This record gives sequence, structure tokens and C-alpha cells, in this order.
Amino acid sequence: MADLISSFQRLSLADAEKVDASKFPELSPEQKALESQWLTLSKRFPESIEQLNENLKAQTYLLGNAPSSSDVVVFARVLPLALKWSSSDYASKRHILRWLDLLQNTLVEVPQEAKLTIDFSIAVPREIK
Amino acid sequence: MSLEIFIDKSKGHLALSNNLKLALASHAYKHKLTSEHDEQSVSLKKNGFELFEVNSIIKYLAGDFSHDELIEFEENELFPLLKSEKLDSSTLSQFSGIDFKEITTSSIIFFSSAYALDKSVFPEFQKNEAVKLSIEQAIAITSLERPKAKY
Repeated sequence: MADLISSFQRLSLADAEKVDASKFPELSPEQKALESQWLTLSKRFPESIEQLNENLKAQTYLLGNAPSSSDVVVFARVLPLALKWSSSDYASKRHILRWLDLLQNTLVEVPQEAKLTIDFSIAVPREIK
Repeated sequence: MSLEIFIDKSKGHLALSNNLKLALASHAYKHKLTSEHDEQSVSLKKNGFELFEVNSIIKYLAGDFSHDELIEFEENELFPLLKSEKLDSSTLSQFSGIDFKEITTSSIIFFSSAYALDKSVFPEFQKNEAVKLSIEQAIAITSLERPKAKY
């Protein structure tokens, strides 16, 4: 996976919706279904944000432990919302924030003014699993 | 654990659309629906794998993940109308010249939401025996009554 990330030419935020899926590993039927689910639900954000956070709780990326084109598309749809979140949102959206930060530092080239700045000094209550 | 499909137990026309989609897929792809459960919303569960967006459930059951203009229209135009219970079917007039011949992911998804908005849509498709039975099943398992205000 590190190979994929290191060899990957970062996509610009503006091109996120036109991302080429063939640049990513092939998906199983289950992953294709999850991809369809998140591409549909992300059109309705902030509805389903809670489920997105829950989905990212146990996996690095949207469809598992490998990145996919849907990470890039959904990233571009969540980022404008996340820029408006305050520190009081950190606890309930911690997994989304972790994922956004990973993507903006690896897969997606985000202009400086649109970049999400996460305050890592904020103490959030321990998550009850 | 085998595959389980849970129906939408909420009230209203979006629930009718969801349950009609599931009923049609259940007939077409031979999977039973589960109605005796505590969850209120649609979901599919299989060995730890879970989906809760109905169109993706239909695509998964069909093994067809194509996303055409009809599905796009359903998600962008019909879903918001059903969700808000604004049952304005005028947007469907542009489709009056077409009818579906086969049960596919696209026809299941589009027809179900169109039917929830207007029961007279796609009359030829409604003559299909599986479609007829699915409509009966969806109506039987869905409550269209809005919750009454408590005084």
C-alpha cells in the first residue's frame, strides 16, 4: 500500500469528481456496493455524517485499508463542511478528521487556503467503544 | 450467517419507495426480506458486511453497479421530494413517453420512487406479474400514515 501512495500523483481538489478509478486497486463486489453507498450518501451530507464517522472508525479508508477513487470524491464533498466544524465537533467527528488529514497529505492536493487545519492540542474525551 | 435484508419500518412515501425497491429486488434476485426486526431503517447484513443505502443494496443484490441517468435523476430529484413528503409528480411528465420492459437495477430504482409519487406511472411495467406482486407486498409492509400529533 505504501508503494501505491508513494507512486501516486496527487490529484487536485478541483479534479476530485473526475478521478480515474483505474488508478486504484480493483474492488470486490462488497467494496463496489460500499462505494456506491458513499457516493450516494455524500451527495446528502451533512445527513449521514455520523455514519461516515462510524464507518471510518475501524478502517483507514472509506472502503477498507486501501484507498479508492471514492475516497477522493467523498473527501471533496466533506471538506467544505469540515472547514466549518469547531473544536466542539472534534469528538463526534474524530475519525472523519483523521481521514481528511490523511487524504490532504497524501492523495489530494489541496490549495493552502482550502486546507483543513486540525488543532491537535485539543483534548477530546476518550471514545466509548 | 446468511444474507439478511431488513425492510424500512418508518412511515411515509420514502419508506414505500424503499420497500418497493426491496420487494422488486427480492422477486428478481430471489432473496427473502426480513420484517421482524427492531431496526427502523433499511439494511443488508452478511457476515459482518453491512449496507444501509437502499440503491446500493439493490445494485449489490443484482451484481450490477452501473449508475445511469435514471438512477442519477432518482437520487437527485425524486429522493428529495419523497424525503420531504412533497408529492409533486410533475417532474415525471418528461418520462411519460417511456416504459420499462425488464426488471433491472435502473428500472427497480426509478420505478419505485416514481410509483411512490404517482401510482399511475409506467402502466405497462405494472402489468408484469412480479411487479404487481411487489407493489402488493410493499404496500402491505409500509405504513403511509404520518404520525398523529399528540395533544
